[in-house]
Amino acid sequence: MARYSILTPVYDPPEDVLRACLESVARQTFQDWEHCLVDDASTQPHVARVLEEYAAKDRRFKVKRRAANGGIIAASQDALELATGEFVCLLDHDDLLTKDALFEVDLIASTDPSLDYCYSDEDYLSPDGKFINPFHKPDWSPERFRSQMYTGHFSVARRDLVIEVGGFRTGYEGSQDYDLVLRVTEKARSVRHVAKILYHWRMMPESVAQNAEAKPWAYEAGRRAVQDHCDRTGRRATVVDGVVPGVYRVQREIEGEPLVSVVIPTRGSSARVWGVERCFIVEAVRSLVERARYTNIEIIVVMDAPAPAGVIEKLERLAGDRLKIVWYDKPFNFSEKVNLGAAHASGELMLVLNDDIEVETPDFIETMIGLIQEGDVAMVGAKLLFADGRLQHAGHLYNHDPFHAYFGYPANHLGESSVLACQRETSGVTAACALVKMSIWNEVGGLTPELAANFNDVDLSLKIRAKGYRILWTPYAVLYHFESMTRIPTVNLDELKVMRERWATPLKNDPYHNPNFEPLRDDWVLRSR
Amino acid sequence: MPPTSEPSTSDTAQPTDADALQAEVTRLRELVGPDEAAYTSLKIELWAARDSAFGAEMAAGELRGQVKVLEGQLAQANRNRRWMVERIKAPLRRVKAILR
Repeated sequence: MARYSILTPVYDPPEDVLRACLESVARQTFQDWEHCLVDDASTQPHVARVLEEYAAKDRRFKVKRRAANGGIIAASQDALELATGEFVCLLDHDDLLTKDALFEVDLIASTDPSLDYCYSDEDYLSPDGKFINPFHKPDWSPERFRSQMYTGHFSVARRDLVIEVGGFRTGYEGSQDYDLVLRVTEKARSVRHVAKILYHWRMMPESVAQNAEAKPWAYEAGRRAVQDHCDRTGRRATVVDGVVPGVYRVQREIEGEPLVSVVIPTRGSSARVWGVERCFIVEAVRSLVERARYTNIEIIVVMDAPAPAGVIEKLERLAGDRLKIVWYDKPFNFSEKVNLGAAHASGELMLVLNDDIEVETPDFIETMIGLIQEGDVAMVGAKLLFADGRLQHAGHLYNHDPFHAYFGYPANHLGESSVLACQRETSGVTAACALVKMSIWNEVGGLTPELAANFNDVDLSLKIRAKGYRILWTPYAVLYHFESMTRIPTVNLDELKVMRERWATPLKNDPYHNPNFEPLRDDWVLRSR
Repeated sequence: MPPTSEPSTSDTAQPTDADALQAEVTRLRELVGPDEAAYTSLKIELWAARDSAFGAEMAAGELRGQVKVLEGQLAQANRNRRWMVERIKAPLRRVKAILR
């Protein structure tokens, strides 16, 4: 029995392309493999000839010819039935493995006995023979995977588990891998990622790699695969198309109508926004009451004493008995103010909100609740825009220092491989708008008062993740955040010291980024090779 | 049960919402003068000005965002250029070392 069985359904590839594919397997530095090739009744005579040639040369090439063309799923299933290996690997008949592909996977498989699924980075092979458009992926990110089939190639799964979940299924043509990997990862004990390019995806004229519109049915099959996954796993959700082909939105239904305690620390200050003077806390509460749709909220305003004249009256008029005023009379400490507000909260969920916000999407609270009701999700962040429409927050990125991902980019920027269009796991979110489970807030002790002004949300996020919980970010909950574009943040050196002492390692190893990107940047720029 | 009497108003009564609203109307009348339509037209002007400010901010933001995108692309291009130069220089250095 081989360690790895490589599965390749074959149907009429050009001869040179097929030979290149087979050679990339033959040249693997890791030798314990078998290549299960199923000729799906190709019409081109060279296909059988080339396959027989390789099978005669090396017994590890196992060839089966189908009597009639059955399509990629039937051929893939036949290849799976030929396989005897501990793991199966998916390789298309026109693609290439790097020579160290199996070696790199086995480095992980040999040290992680519970490994059930592994994937790697990939790039594309252009028609003129260049390796282009590398896709450097995050570590396992199940929410992103529900939004996008990002694991792609090179995919390796434990064979027993693939058989247990039913192998390749008909009805998902074009997205059969997505459907299979969804089912495998639902049951996988360990999912790992190799942050190296192990697979070259050849760009053919009809290939999805070349043209996102080439196979619209594949995207529809993908949407159905995610819907099935939600149904199977008990997620009450509707899956709809996202903003670009191949990206999906999982719209969850909320269970019950949990009370959300909205905690807003404020000084009651005002400034000019969009040409008019604005008392931030009043307008934030107005926005919550008049624009946001979710009504089961209490609004806890933690106000520096004394409040500017008329502010409390306006708040009471807007929010009525949903409003609680908590007075704060000590020197400024954002963490203490939020902790004080949290101590007065009675909801099972708490929405920490800055006062300088305005709601843009009326269902933003429902969207965030839908995500936080996933069992191991502790906190959910939103998409925040500056007054001029640029991105202020799209999740934290810990790239040797903490950053807001794609800070200052256009609001509709998609980011690397559409990362900004996907609901996804993130290392942290800003406390300017964060929905958090009260039980987990208490478990980690809320915000750290030693971090009075800066990094308190980074610290909170890392505390939460250190406990094993997930943090999600959604592009479908949008608010304006009128943080000054010209403000130069004053970083307290003591706060920086606390952060570095506590979190030196996680700040340099963001699992939702990739070591192939340049450090100390908020965007995804490739490192020099 | 005897009918309860209406609460009597007195000089010490708290101002009601109606009182507050009346005071606001008086204040606004003083602000806009005797022409009541002027208040509406001023409001419309304010909304239009706000829309203009909003539109201008968004247009400026779009341009600033594009600049950020271009800066990212430039950083990538510079990294690629440095890599390419290094690829050319490395064999040159080896050749020079052999020739020495």
